[in-house]
Amino acid sequence: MDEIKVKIGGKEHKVKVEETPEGKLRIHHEGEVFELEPGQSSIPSEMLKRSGSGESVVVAPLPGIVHSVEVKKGEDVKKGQLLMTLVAMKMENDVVSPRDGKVKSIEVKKGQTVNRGDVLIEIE
Amino acid sequence: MLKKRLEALKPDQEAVKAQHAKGKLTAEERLALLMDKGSFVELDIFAEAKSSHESKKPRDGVITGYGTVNSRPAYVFAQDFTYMGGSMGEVHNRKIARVMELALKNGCPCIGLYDSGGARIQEGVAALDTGGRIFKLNMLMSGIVPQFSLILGPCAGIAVYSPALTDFILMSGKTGSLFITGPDVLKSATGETVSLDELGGAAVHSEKSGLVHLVTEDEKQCIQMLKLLLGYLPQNNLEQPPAHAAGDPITRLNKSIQRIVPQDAKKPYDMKGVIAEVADKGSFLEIHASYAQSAIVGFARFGGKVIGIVANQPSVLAGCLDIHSSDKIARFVRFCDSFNIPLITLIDVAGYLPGKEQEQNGVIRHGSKILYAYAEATVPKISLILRKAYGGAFIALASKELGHDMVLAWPHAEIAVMGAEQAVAILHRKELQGKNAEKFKKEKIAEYEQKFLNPYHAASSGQVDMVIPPEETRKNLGMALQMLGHKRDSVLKERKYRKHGNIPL
Repeated sequence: MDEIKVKIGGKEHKVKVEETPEGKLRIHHEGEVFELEPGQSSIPSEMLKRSGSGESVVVAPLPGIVHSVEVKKGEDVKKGQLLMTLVAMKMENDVVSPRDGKVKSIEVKKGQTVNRGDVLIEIE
Repeated sequence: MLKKRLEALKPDQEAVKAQHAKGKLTAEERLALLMDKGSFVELDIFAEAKSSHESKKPRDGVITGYGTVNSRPAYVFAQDFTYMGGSMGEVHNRKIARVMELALKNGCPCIGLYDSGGARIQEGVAALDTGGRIFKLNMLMSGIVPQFSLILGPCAGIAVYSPALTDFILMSGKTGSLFITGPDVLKSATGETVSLDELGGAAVHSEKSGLVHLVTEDEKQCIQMLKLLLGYLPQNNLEQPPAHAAGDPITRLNKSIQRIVPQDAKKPYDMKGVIAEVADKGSFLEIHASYAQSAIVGFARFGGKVIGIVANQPSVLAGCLDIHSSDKIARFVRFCDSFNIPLITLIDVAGYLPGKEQEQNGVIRHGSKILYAYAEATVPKISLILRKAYGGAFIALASKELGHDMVLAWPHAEIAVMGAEQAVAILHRKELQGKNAEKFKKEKIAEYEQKFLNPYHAASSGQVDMVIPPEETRKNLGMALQMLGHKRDSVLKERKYRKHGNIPL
């Protein structure tokens, strides 16, 4: 099994790659395993999300509408700090920071509709 | 002669050292922690494997027997990892099956302390076939005596399916793991390289798979946790759960409850604060705390009597019912029903979680389990609507026609098929395209809100029995429990005419 570095959205990730007996590529990343068909060039979307949720990308926990954005780009945030609220299922759902860091980018605007798993904010 | 024979049972000191080095206790040490002092009686001590492997010893790698736990009789088996890795051979399995049969006949809880690599390869198919006997007994005992599995070491193969068939799985976070195929076999079979923790560690099973109900840091705490859990449960399905003297008065007012629950129904809060406030002080034991956290389930006491609590958690996924929380609630409701534990359901939710991901993964199939479980349950079922009960979630958690016995609501509770805006958009689709649409929409929304978004519409037609002041929640729940204390349900009669129902799985 080979260990290689890949860049996703500007962030470097270490992944392990191996070939399965059926000739597929199997990628190990932070405890999750993804399979690629030979010749498939795109990265599985699950892995994109996952590579994010591996601490630095905050994704929508449920489908809804962005109700408020409580932080600005470049702002320092603490773990558990309120980042934004999503109105969904008749509730203003708090979205909090998974860790201490700095807001690298805000991917959504107030009033925007998001699906479950959409990237909301990147923390670095 | 007996003395000499017993001498042969002394554990191999090297193996004991190795067991301790892994941070694990031996089977004897575990039993000493679990059973009341001097109460344990070992059975089948001289049973040995039929095949002749070199290291063959009596007991065949499992200590089985009976005794008392907190003064209550229980049957136990503890696998001995120091003997052939706790592997499950024919005699080993028959010994376990024997205590299970005794637990069933005598109406006592059955506790398994697991530390086993799975079927004993040296014994071939006989090891597998007798595993089937254990599984069959798990099924026969289900709903008659409570069954517990403590996962104290790495458990694989057939050593995971018997725990999976029991009522509660408790895991020692440091030492326990559960997987069908271990890392070594996996590597040779498919080439996949994974660590033990990734495959079946405490985090995986308590957060993702939902297999494990309670996780503790180490083995000692795991055994303590089991004793705590046992304190809420009866010996068998014909007995009532153990009641305590009522220390906390049932008439205690819940003065702080309105500080816990915001009036604005859009604001989330932690439902566990409500449970702590209304149940007997310090009595709540949460089950599946890290799994499917938009729902909360667990045992508590009300005036000393044991109840099961099911609640929405508005601070996670808006408290929505989704695939995993449906499974979690349905299984808990069925356990409580099997063992005569009344249910209190605390409701504050807008419905089942919508969206492609949930629909494609079967939210209908999983969500219907809640309906089935509540409809089937004959124990007292009391529901309280705090702020919201919409659509399918209302039916599942509070419909009297489905079988809920008493439905209470707070004065601001919203009970409707859907929210005002969505309802108006559907009901007045045509009118909303014309002139003055905005004004018309506002009027209709206000009209809808006034008509439906309160508990009195439901109360006027008998779907809500009582509208209660929030600070009198404990008192009213307590009185409802008392009123339903001797409930008998005619569903029980109808059950005689079928083998079993067919719950959607």
